[in-house]
Amino acid sequence: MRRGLPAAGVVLVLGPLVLLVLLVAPGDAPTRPARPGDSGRGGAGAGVAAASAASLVTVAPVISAVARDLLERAATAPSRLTYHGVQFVSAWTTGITTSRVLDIAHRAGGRTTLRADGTAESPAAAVTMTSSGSPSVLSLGAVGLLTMHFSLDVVGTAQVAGRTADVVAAKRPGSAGAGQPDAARFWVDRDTGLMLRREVYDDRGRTTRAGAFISLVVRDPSDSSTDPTDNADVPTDGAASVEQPWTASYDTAALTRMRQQGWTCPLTLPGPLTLVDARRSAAGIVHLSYSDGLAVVSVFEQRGDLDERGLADHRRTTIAEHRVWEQDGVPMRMVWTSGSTVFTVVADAPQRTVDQVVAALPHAPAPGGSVGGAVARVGRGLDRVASWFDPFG
Amino acid sequence: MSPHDHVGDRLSALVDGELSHRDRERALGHVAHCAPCRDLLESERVLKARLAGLIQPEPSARLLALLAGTAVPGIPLPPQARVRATTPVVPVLPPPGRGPRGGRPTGRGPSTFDGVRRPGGGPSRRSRRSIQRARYAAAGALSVAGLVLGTAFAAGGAGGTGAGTVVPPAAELSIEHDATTASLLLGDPGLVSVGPGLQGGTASPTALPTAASTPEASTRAP
Repeated sequence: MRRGLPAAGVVLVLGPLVLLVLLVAPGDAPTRPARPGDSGRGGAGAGVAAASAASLVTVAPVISAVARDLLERAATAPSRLTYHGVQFVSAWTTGITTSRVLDIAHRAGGRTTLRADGTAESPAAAVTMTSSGSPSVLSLGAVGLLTMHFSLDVVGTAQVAGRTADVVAAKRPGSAGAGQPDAARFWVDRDTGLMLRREVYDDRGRTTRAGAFISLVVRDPSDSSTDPTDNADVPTDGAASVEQPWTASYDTAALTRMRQQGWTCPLTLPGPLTLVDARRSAAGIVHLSYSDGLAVVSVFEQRGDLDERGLADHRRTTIAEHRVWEQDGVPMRMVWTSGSTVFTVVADAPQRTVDQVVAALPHAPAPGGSVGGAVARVGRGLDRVASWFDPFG
Repeated sequence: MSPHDHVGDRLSALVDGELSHRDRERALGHVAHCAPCRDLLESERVLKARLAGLIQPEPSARLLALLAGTAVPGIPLPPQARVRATTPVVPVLPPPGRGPRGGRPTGRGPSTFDGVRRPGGGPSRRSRRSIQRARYAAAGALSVAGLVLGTAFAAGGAGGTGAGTVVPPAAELSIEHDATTASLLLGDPGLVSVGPGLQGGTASPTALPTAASTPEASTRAP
């Protein structure tokens, strides 16, 4: 009888745990976010993602060597040039127009300071930006990312801020015929290679983003006494901030492990958009950056249940039969809960692309007070406790 | 059998007390008058006593321990005194009127192997201790399992920041989005967007994106 006591204790302890594992393992599927690439789970969004990826493969972009060289020169210009000037930038989304006049000061290979005067709708502000370094997932660079998705060609010359510029047009693959609108145009300074003007268009050729130098002064970067960012005055009626991206990054192997732990982290999204960079905040929020070279969509995944009381300035909307919280403006912002994860999408992209991205991401029902929800919660807790002892977690 | 018949082959049964009451009375009445039969009866008794005095084989201590371990709770163990008896067992003649056919157990109440009734009739002290230990072990196991499941339940409901419910930090997410946008697109930060950190759409008058800024709802322009 004495020998039977330890055995009975072990059975009583391990029995419920084994039973829980057996219950949670198959039951984890409803709370595990569906991946856009999974067939039959992502609904229409997954189909769109697959179709977009297929179209990316079947129709290859046509790249002009001269256009590529011009853009490569423009991509390296901020690392070579010190300059300051004034830019006029605008963005158009559904029913909303945003315009700002910016004083910009840049130091070669260093920081960039932007300053905006106050307007009737927004206060004055100044921000200093530092480089975020190389992307952690896809290190093709801005030009490499652009040539993956768009055809490039030189379409002429123009004058911008009194300087001569070569104009490079980007077209969607398969739309190179006459009458097809450009996806974007770039004005590259013939003298310095600096990007002087940039415009992005939607499928119908309407401008959605535009930015251009009104005035520009390029300085000698070897002259340390002429750092324009030192003279970036902070508006008295506003505030200044320094923007630095989160430092913890994920590579491809780390993303694979994260998917095994229930994070979504799709490699592609409708657009088509490609996962370029992945980072994590100190609070555990995962930031996935997707881009095609013209649009940028940030997907933030955060563990927890959404407290909708904190979204007073958002409005309810329905996208592809999914209820989300939306905040209009530039960039667009969508928030919703899927299972035990809160998704936030911040997008500088066409409205249709944003809707496709939102539809492609998971929208699982939130775990409630049911038995299944409690079991799933215990399963998540066991995973989380196990991750505390995971050196790779 | 007449009183004048010798006991003969019934002598052994007489010594063992296996005769019926009537035959035993007749045999004893004959022995009282017959010297040869009386001598034979005495010799038979001595022989039986000597046979009973021989050493009996005893079970080993390990066998006794195994038997004790397999005992079912609630059923008393066989008395060790009986198993380990070393004193010779001398058969005695049953008293008159208490022969094997007349002395039957009543069968009432809990019986034991040795036919001795115990007060209360419950399990032995040793079995009660075993049951108590099993209860303690079960309670301890259930406590540990409850602690593990409770911890998992609490940890499973917590968000990444340690809270069950979360509100996405709008200002922090905007800064993070802007910072990565500028590095992914061609052009400087001003050209690629409407000024990272300076967005101010008519429907989204985002305030200054400082690290300590509050959500947009509290900073909306009038």
